[in-house]
Order: sequence, then C-alpha cells, then structure tokens
Amino acid sequence: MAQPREVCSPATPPSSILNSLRRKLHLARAFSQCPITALAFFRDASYLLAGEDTDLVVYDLRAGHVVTRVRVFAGQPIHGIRVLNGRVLLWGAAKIAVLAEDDVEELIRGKDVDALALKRVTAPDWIYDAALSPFDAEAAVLITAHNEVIPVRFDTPDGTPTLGAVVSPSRPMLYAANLKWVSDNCVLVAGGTVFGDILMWKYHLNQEQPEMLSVLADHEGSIFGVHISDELLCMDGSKIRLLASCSDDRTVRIWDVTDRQVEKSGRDTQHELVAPRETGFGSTPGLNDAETERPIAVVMGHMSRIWGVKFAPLNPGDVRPAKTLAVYSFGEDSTMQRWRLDLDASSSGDARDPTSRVSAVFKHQDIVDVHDGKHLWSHALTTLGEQTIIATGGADSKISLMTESTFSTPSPEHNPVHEITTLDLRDVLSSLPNPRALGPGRGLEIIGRYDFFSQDEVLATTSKGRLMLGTFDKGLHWREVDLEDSIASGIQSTYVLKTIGDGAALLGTTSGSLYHYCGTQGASLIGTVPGKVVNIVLLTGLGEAHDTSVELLVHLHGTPDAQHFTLDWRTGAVLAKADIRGMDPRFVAMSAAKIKGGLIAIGSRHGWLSVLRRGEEGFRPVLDFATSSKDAITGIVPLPGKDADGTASPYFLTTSRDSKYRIYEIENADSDVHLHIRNETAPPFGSIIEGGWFTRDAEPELIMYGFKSKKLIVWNETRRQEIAAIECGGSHRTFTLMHDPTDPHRLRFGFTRTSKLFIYSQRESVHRPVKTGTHGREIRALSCNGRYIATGSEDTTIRIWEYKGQQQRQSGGREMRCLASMKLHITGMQQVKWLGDDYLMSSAGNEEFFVWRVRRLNNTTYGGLGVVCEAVFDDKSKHGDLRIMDFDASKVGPDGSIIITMLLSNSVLKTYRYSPDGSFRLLAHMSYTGACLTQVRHLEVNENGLSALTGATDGHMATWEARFDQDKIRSHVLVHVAPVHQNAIKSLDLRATPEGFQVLTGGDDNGLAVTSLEVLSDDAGIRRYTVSSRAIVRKAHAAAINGVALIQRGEATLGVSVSNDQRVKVWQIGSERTELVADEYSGVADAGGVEVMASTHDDDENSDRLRLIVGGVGVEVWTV
Amino acid sequence: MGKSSKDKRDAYYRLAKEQGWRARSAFKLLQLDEEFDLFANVTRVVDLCAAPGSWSQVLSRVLIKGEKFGRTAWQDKEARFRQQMLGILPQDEQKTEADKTIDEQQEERKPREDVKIVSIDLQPISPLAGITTLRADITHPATVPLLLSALDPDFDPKMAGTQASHPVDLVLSDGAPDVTGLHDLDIYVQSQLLFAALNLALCVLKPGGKFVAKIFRGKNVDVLYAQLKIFFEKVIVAKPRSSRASSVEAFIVCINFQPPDGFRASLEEPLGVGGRLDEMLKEREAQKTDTEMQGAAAISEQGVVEMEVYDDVPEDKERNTRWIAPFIACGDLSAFDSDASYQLPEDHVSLDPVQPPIAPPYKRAIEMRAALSGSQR
Repeated sequence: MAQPREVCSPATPPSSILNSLRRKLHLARAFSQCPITALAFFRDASYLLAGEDTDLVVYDLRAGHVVTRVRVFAGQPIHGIRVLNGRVLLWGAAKIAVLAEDDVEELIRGKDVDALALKRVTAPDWIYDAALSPFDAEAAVLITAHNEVIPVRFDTPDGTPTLGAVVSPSRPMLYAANLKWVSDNCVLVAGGTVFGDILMWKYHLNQEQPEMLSVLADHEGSIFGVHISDELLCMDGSKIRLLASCSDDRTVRIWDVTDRQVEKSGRDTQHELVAPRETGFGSTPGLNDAETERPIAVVMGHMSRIWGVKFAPLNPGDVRPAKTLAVYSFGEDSTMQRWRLDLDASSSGDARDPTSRVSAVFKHQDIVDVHDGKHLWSHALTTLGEQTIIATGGADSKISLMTESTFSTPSPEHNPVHEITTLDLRDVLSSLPNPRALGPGRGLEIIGRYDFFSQDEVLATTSKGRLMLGTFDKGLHWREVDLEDSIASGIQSTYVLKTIGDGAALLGTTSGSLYHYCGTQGASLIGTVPGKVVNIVLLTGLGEAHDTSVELLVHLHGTPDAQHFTLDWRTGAVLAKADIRGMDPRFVAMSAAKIKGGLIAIGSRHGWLSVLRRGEEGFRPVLDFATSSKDAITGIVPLPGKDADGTASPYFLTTSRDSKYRIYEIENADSDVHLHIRNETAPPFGSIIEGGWFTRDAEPELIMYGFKSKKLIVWNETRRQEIAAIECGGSHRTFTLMHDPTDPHRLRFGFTRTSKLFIYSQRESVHRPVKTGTHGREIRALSCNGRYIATGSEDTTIRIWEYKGQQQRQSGGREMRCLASMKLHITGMQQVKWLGDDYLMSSAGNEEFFVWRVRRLNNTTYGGLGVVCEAVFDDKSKHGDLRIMDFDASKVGPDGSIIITMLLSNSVLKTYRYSPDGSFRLLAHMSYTGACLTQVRHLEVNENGLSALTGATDGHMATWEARFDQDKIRSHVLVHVAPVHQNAIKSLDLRATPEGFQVLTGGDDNGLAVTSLEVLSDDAGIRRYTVSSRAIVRKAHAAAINGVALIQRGEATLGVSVSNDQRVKVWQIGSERTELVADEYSGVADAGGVEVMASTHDDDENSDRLRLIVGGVGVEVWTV
Repeated sequence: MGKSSKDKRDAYYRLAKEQGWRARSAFKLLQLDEEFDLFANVTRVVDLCAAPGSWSQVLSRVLIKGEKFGRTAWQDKEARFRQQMLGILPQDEQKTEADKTIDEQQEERKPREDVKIVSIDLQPISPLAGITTLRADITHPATVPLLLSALDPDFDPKMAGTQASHPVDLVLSDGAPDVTGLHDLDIYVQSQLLFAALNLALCVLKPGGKFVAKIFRGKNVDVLYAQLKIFFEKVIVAKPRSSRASSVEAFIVCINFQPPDGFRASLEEPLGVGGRLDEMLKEREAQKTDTEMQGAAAISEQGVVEMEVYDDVPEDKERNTRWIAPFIACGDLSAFDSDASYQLPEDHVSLDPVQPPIAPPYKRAIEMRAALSGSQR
C-alpha cells in the first residue's frame, strides 16, 4: 500500500549508532481490518468504493477482489464518499478530499497510487453529509454537526475545493444530516438533533438567510439517521417528497416533507435564540414560526439503536407512479431490515392544500443478519434495471453485497437470482392433459414424498400412488410418470423417496418393497426387506457417471437391524446384500457413512455412534461410542483424504441437532477401533444442524445447513458466510436440499408447509461478502504462537487466525484467514494465551477459564483446525462472579502437567497444577492488598515451586514465590513490591537478561516503564527476584497504554507500545536512555494489545522484518 | 446485573448508596478535591451536565452545609491493613495520614457565606438545598444568558453581553454523551461538550478560577490539552481511583484561569469549531519558548527514574499542535479500587439507589416489546 510520507528534514540529529538504527527502522502498516465507515458504488455498480480507516479501497465486484487502495488522510478515517459528475468527494471528520472519477479509473487500470492528484481542504467543523450538485458540476454542499451548510466550489485553477460562507438557521448539535439538491440554487436540508428533533430547512445558494421549513419533533431520542426521498409521483399525478428518520428510540418514522409552498410570515428568530430560556430534552426549540408536524408512518424495528435509514433509489427515468417504496434500516444490532412502505396519496388531491396529507403503512419484509458483532456503520444503495443492489459495511470490517428485485412487477424475461415456487397438487393435476384416473380413495390427494431427481428435476409421490416428475425450465412443469398398476399400488405406500444418482431414485414402502425408478427404465421392484422402510441412507454419496455402484442402508421400523445394499444406481440391479445385526436394541439410526478401512459409522437419534465392520455374516458393531451430544446425529461425512480416491482420511465429521459439529479421528481401523474427538464447534448459524458436505475444491470448504428459528440456513463454515437463509416455518417438517456439486451457492430447497410443497431455488447467494471480516466487537486479548494468532473479543468468542500476508491479496481479502471460532465463554474475554503449539487457554468473567487443545488435521485436504475444549475450570468461588484478569501457564514435568497462575478481580492470585485429564489442583493462593491484579508472568517454575511477577491497578509491581507441597495448599510469599506507575498497569512484557529480567510496562498513566529484576538469593530451588531499577517515560502516549511488546533484535532492545491515543510507537531501550524511533497513526481504536508474530519467510523481501499485530476495534499487521 | 452483584463488582456504587450520594461519581469529585483542593476559597460554582446531581450534592454538602469529606469516606480499611502487612506503604506516610484523618474528623462544620451554586443539565435535576438548577443544553447559545441571569439576578441580556458581572470561582462539567461505539464520533461529541463547557466557563469564570471537566483520553486528546493550556496556567489530566482503569474517562483539571490578552468569549465564534484555537495556539507557541510548553509537573515517586526521551520522529505538518498534559492519579492507594471485586458479608443488605436512573429514550420500545411478548403467551 502506498501512503504519502513526510520527507525527513535534512537537518539530521547528532550522529550516533542509534541513529543508524533509527534510519533502518521503518514502521509500516502491512494489513488492516478496520470498521467500514463509508461505501459508494462506482460505474454502475461494477466497482465499490469503501472507506476503511484512512484508506479508499476499490473493489471489483465482478471479480470480487481489491483492485487498489489509496491513503486519503494521514490520520483520519473516511466517513463518507459521494460520486457524481466525474468527481469523487470523500470526507472524514472535518477533512475533505476530492479526486476525479477518471483518476479512479486510472487506478483501477493499474496507475501508480503515488502519482494520484488528491486535493484536500479542511472544513471548520465535523461533516455529516455532502452532496455534489446534479445541476452544476463545479458545486457541492456540506453540512456540519452544528447544522451549518457550507457551499463548495471546485472551479479553481488547480482544482482544490474552496469553501464558502457558513449558513445556518440555528446551531444545535446534530447526530445526523442529509442534503438534497432540489434546484440549481436550492438545497433541502434535514438535520437530526441530539435531542430528537429534525430541523427541515432550505439553503439557497448565494443567500445568507436560510429558509426554515419545519421542526419534526416526535422522536423520543437522538436522531441517528435521516434521508430525504426523491420526488415521488403519486397515482393522482401529484408529487410528494418524504423523509425517513431513525432514532435512539428504536423507531423508523416517515414524514411528508412535500414542498407545498405555504406562505410563511417572515419573522426574525435571531434574538429569540440568544434570549435566556431553558433548552434540552422536552423543550420546544425556539423556531415557533415553523410548523410542528407528525409522522405519517412509524414502525419499531431492531433490537437496539438504529444508525441509518434509506429509501431505495428510484430507477432513473422511471415515471411510473409510486404505490410502494422500499425502505432499508441499518442498526447497532448489525442487521439490515427491509420494509415496504405502502403509500396512499389519494387524499392529497390538491398538492397545494396543506391540510391534505399522504398516509402510509409499514410492512416488515426481511431481516438480513450477515455481519458479526455490532454496528452497521455504512451502506450504499443503487438501482440497476430491475434490481436493487445494497452494500453494507460493519464494525466487523466486513462488506456484504446483496441483490434484490425491486418491488415493481418484474418483466417476463426477468431471471431472478432466487425464487420460490408453491405447489398445490390440485392445480398441478388440473393442468395435466390427461391425468390418470384413480379409484375413489379416502381423503384428499396430497404430495407425499419428494426429492430432487437431478439438477433440474424433482420427483414426488402423491398420497394416492401417483409418481410425478417436475422439470425446472422458466417455471416448474409437471408430468405424471406412467406406472403399471401393480407398481402404482405398491408406490402408494411409499415412506421414503431417495435420489441415489443423477436421474435415479429409490422408493421404500411401508410394506417393505424397494422400487427403483429412472427415466429410461421406468419403475421396477428390485427387492423387499422384512419390515416397514423408515429410512434409506446413502453411504457413499450420490452415484456418479464414472462409478456404477452405490452403497446404501435401508433402516426398518422398530428394530436396529438394517439391510446393506450395493446397487447399480442406473439400473437398480442389486450387486450385493448384507445384514446389519447385533446393534443395541435402543439404537435408532439417523445417519450413516462409509469411513476409513471399509468401516461404516451409524449415528443415532440419541447421540450414539456405532462403528461396524464387515464380516462373513454381514456387518457387526466393533465400537459403540457415546458422543457428547444427547441429540440426534443428523449427518456423517468423511473428511476429504489426500489420496487420489479421497478415501484415506482418518477423520469423519458428524453434525448434530445439539447445534454442534464434531470431527473424530479413527484409530486402528484394521483391528481394535478407537475414536478420538478432534474438534467440537458450535457454528454461529443456528441451533439445529441437519447435515453438511465438503466442496470439491483443492482446499475443500465445509458447508453445513440447519434451522435457525423459522429459517433454513446454508452456511459456509470455512469462509464463515451465509449462503442462503430461507423462511420455511422452522425445523419440524419434511424437507430436502440439493446443491450443485461444483457451486455450493447454486441450490434448491424443497419443504412442506401446511401440506403444500414449496421449492426454493437460487442461482447464487442472495448476499455475498465482498470482504471478509473479523470480530464485530473489540478484541480484548491476543496471542501468537508463531503460526497462529488467537483473539479473544468482547463478543465472548475466541478466534484462531492464520495470516497469509501479501500472497493472498487477490483472493477476496482473505489475507487473515479465520481457522476456528469458539463460542463457549458467556462473559467478556479477559485473556487468551498459547502454551506451545497445541494448547490455548482463555479466561473471562464469572471465573470462566478454559483449556483448549488445538491440532492441525493431517492426511486431509480440509484446512480447518481441530479444536476441542479439553477442560473447564471448576474450582470457583462461592458465587463464581469474579473476573479472571490474567494468567500465565508453564509446562512442567514429563507427564504433561501445566502450572497455571491466575489473577482474580478480588486481588487474589491462585496457582494450580493442571493435568491433561482435565483436573485442576490448587497448589498455592494469596491475597494482595485489595487492588485488582492485572498482570502476571511466571519468572521460574518447576515441580517444586514458582517465582512470579504481578502488576496491579495500584501501579505496583510485585514479585512472589511459592513452594509447592504434595499434601497441602501453600501461600504465595510476597518477595518485593515496588511502585512503578501511578495507577493501573495495563500491559506488560518481559525478556530474560543475564542478571534476571527486563520488564516493559504500559500504564493507564500514559507512562512506559522499564524495570529490571535481579536474583535476590541463589539458594537451591526456586530463585527469588527483586526489583533492582525502575525508569519511566511519563508522557509516552497521550492516553492509556494497553499493549506493549519487548523485542530483542541483534544488539538492540526494542519496545513497542499501543495506546488509546491510536499511535503505535517503537522505542529503542538502552541502558542510559530510551529513544522514540518510530511513531505512526493506527486505525485500531481501543487497542487491546500488541503481539509479535514470528517473522514468516513467505516473502523474501520481508524476511528480516518483524511483524506485529495490533488488535482492538479491528486488527492491523505492522512490519518493523 | 443485579443490585447485589453490582455491590460486589463496584465498591463505589455500594458506598454511594451507603453514604447517600445520588451517583458513584460523587467520589470522583471528592477525590479530585482531595488532590487539588478544588474547593479552597470557593463560594461561587457552576456545575454543568449535573444530572442526576451527585456533583451538585457534593457542592451542597461541602460549601453550603460545611461538611468535610476525607479519605475515610472511601478508604478500604482491609486494604490498608493488608498494605501494612505486606509492607507496601512506608511507615512515616502511614502515620501522617492517620493524623490527618483524625484532624479531619475533629474539625467542625463551617458553612461558607455567600455561596452561589448553579447546576445545569438537559435532564431535570431533583432539587438540592441552596442550589439553583436549570434545565438547558450547554451547547445551546441561549444557555449563556440563562446562566448569567441565574448567577446574577440583575443581569440584563440586552445590556451586559456575555460576560458575568460577578464571576465564579469554579466551573465543573461531568458531562458525557451516550457513546455510539464509533470512537471518532464519540471523541468528537465529548470534545464538543468540553468546548461548550469551556465556552460557558470563559463567560463566567474569574481570572484565577478553576475549570474541571470530564475528558475522553482517546485519539487527538493531546490537541485538546494543548488548546486548554491557552487559557489556564496549569492543565493536568487526573484520574480518580473511583474512575475505572478500563474506562477512557479522565478529568482535566485546569488551574489559574488566565484569559489571553484581548480574548473575549464570543457566542458568534464559539470555540471547538473552526481553526481559531489552533491559530491562537500557534501564535502562543511562536512567542513562548519550548520549555514552557514542555514544562510539566514532574512527579517524583520513590526510586523511579524519569527517563528523558530523545524524540526525533518528524512532526506531521498536517497534525495540529499537541501537548500531553501531566497525569495524576488521585485518591490514595488505600482507596477502594473501582476495578476490583469485593467480598461482602453474608448478611449484606443491598440498598436501593438514592435516585433511580433516568429513563432511557428506548423505554417505550422496551415496554412495547414486553407488552407484545406478554400477549403472545
């Protein structure tokens, strides 16, 4: 990324060795994921312009990746982007920048970013909105946070924008504003105040006096969003203009702001504004010549504050009268909601009659919940033909793109991205040329069982024994399959219909008959089983062209005994048959798959797994395994193997209705079989997982589906993306899902609702991420182990990431790839730490402390990690309501024991011995003064005792010693305590020195301190440490220092500090003095910490560079 | 969080209820006063963004009723005991502090004369003995004349302009916006509240007076510090023990009001918008030597060496003039720790808050949602 850098002044400081180091130190931001604070479409939605912190980022929406990135401001995030008349206007706080659309085109074509001509200017105040004039290419207006409009002209010799005189009718503090050019010299202004009023006024170019129109005072909390509509044509030919507003009070309101040219008495309001009077909540603003109005529609939406509201833009040139309007709202709850506003303008017969008003009714249409954490900060909408395209940007740094059909009636050629078809059997039958006449059976004929027969066909039975085949071809066309009478009467009792290959299905009946049906051969009876067929499970996936056989299990009612079949899926010929016997009588099979070594795994309704091996007499169980789920195992999928045939993977995955999926490793597939859990994860998409599959990519991705309240969700776990969310009424229904084998976004979902068959089809995802994101809440803790980064966030989840760096730049912003996400904590995270490569530990409030086992999965092409929570800390205090502020852990002894010292928020430190069997044994504990301990590090640990260092909110550092005893719990002994900071020590790092340790601490007091520890006594056993020297930089930052790192680089010792002041600083720490060697703006607000990533050697250029990662509101990677 | 668990999580919440304060923030002002002796020779005070009125309550009890509050009000006796046991406090300090505590307790109540306290907030404030309460938006221009007429009954807005004829000794502001989570915006809105308070202070404060306001220590806070330094001899950023370390909140304590020559507070040109302050600052900087700007109060603590920093990172010309105010943590070390959890006796009875919290604007939304889910059951 290119960024304008200040040229160093030629007056170099006195030469020294340190200076030469300084010159080599270049601190640069290599990667960032910050909240998306501005979005705008570019070139008919071919491109998307995004404001990501200080940078303008251009995405190619067709290719789906970043094309270019420009740093617009030095240390200011971009808050808004407007594109019109060949010009791109950007602003952030009071700063404004402009560039030509052509320049953006050049950048897209690969022009050097450094050569870009950005023109900048600074406004006197914070800007909430800007509008380029559609009437004059050289004009624009801005509105500030104090309800002031500032005109802008671009027709200067060098194109630098010039700001005109500020105009305002009154200067209350605003939280939102919107500007709309209504003529070449008039702008309509809506200002939403902190106190819940909306000021509507007109700004006239070249006039000092604004025209106050009205005060809309009906909201009960601050106004966070306002949007003025285009002029709308009503059915009666009149024209209206609407305003949408949203607020802290959780409502969206619509106002009629049509300019009805009411004569107003031109009273002077100026002196009233400065007259002594009360203001604030509930008081009417002193604009009493303005009308007070009521909204025409009010609706409540969102679980929390609503940040933005927008009308869908009208199609340019659309002159049809508006009966309905789409309104979108964007919330703190990170959802977008779509509303339909039904307009009734019939009463406004005379547009000039101020008493006539439009009425409107809100209808909720949809909720789109594809961002993580909180806050949708930015959005962009555009209408192209019959589609509305919406982009949303969140605090999670994700950008999501959605395409919707506009509300106007679609034309016949319109090919929607997704559609839903409802089938009423009577309608279907009456449309058939000559339906088969059936005898007068009992009851109504309804659709029975169904499955997708091929990519474009659906096969269904009816309750009266018909077999129907539907073909998708611009709608769904049905025909009835001709059946012999004997087969027809058999099929009437079909209980299971299962597609076994492309264009071939198997039907199992309550009388135990199995019928095969395919297009060329028709239906035929291929066998019988001794009981009622309740389930048919394919063991090997759908039959494919290169392989003629499929294996499947036929399960019977009331018995765990089942039948194994090997079929030629095309002809239905039975190639082999085997019995399944010896199962536990309580076992109710739900799912099955063929796994490594020819074994079969069967999952039960109550969470059991049975592994069977084929013997001379059929299949017999060799292992009955109780999983940690008590709910049904809905699916079993072997992980893709590395061998060409893809069968040799020792892992398989199970999905369960307990909301989790698990990965097991099979040990000794040849003899005594064991299963080991290697992963247990609750994906965020739902509570009931019904199944999953792996894509056929070189790096297979895991797709799962299940139900979340009334929707079926299809979810890509690898990319953490929602593929589809289909309203179907909930989980208790018959359904079937089919996906395109090569494109998981192309799918069909059939489900029964109120005895009708519904079929949902999509060509692509309704929404897709343009850029992937991170936690949508603050990262409170992070830890690197060389290969992986673990982050713990305020959203209570832990994520594990792999940083791929530059090499992944073109792959949809996946430089930082999320390999695992664990949601087991229920309170805000305090700390995460790696211990070696395989252990991760985490602590939070409510005395939550978890030990995670993290493994790479070998011998599979699936790239996900195996993560299992190995232990949950259970030795809690009586109420269990303390926070575990920090901890340190060290491995001791050959048995894998771990010594863990944790700090509780009541000033207590506790040391435990953790055994890999999951037990914690208290070895020592002690109370400090009552001040909250914030930092702990082991200085030395062995089987017999430990030496530790703590920091606390009282600014003191303390060294401790504890000797362990087999039989009793000991107390830690305070060795030495020394004041270092004035108040809380917020961050700490240390390194070993010949004398002892060097400790770097960052305080809430803005100070950065270097403390030395040395050995007090060299007795046998654990060494005791004392603070030997303390030194502090008092004004190291302008705010609390939340993260520090100490790095040894050759001879030099470097310290890194990150702070709430959003600066990243690098210090050269010498014995005599400390020197600031780098100081850069960081886009990460509320930093939670900084960590050194091991320098990876994937790009030679940076091989001698250090990588740092900063986490907070967003993530940044820096190179030094 | 329930009342009882909040009592444990937040010692000052519990203390405030026990000692009859409307909000825990009372302790922040008391601890600031202890460090900076804010109320010395003070009789006329303006309290901005006062609701629910805990700071005004402190003013009322200290200035009007003449009560004294010392460390005993917030000292954790057990912490003190443990500190002595662990040898954290030096002996001599313990002794003098113990004496001081006794002195404080023995002193009589001395109500001050001619006390005038005006409190302003957006929300109505329950009446407090001897205090004039006003409901107003401190960012609104109309508030200046409103305040002036409250301070001085003879005030005539048409004649007197915007300067108080009887200025005040101290201006306080504990105002903060409801944060949105967009840090940039929150910092801006907080700075606007600070500037609004400063604007009012400039109109009513007498030379030599003090100004104390809440500040968010975030991005560009050093620009704010530098700008405040234009008007006051000393500017210190203070963090009382009763304010959590996990919060960005701190207090800017500005001592000895020295309006620049020729400066006049103006409503037409309020501070906080435009480049006026930065221009004043650059002018000032050009006149003064660098050491004056850097002249921070050096706090020497036992044995901690102050490191001089050799800083040659080139200054970004686009950035405003910056200065980092000296930081002081206040409230002594044996004060209750607002970040710590406390164990309470088994028979602890959780008190009701002195004043119920202000109804949020989404109250109706919550009620409607509750009503809806109720009808479905």
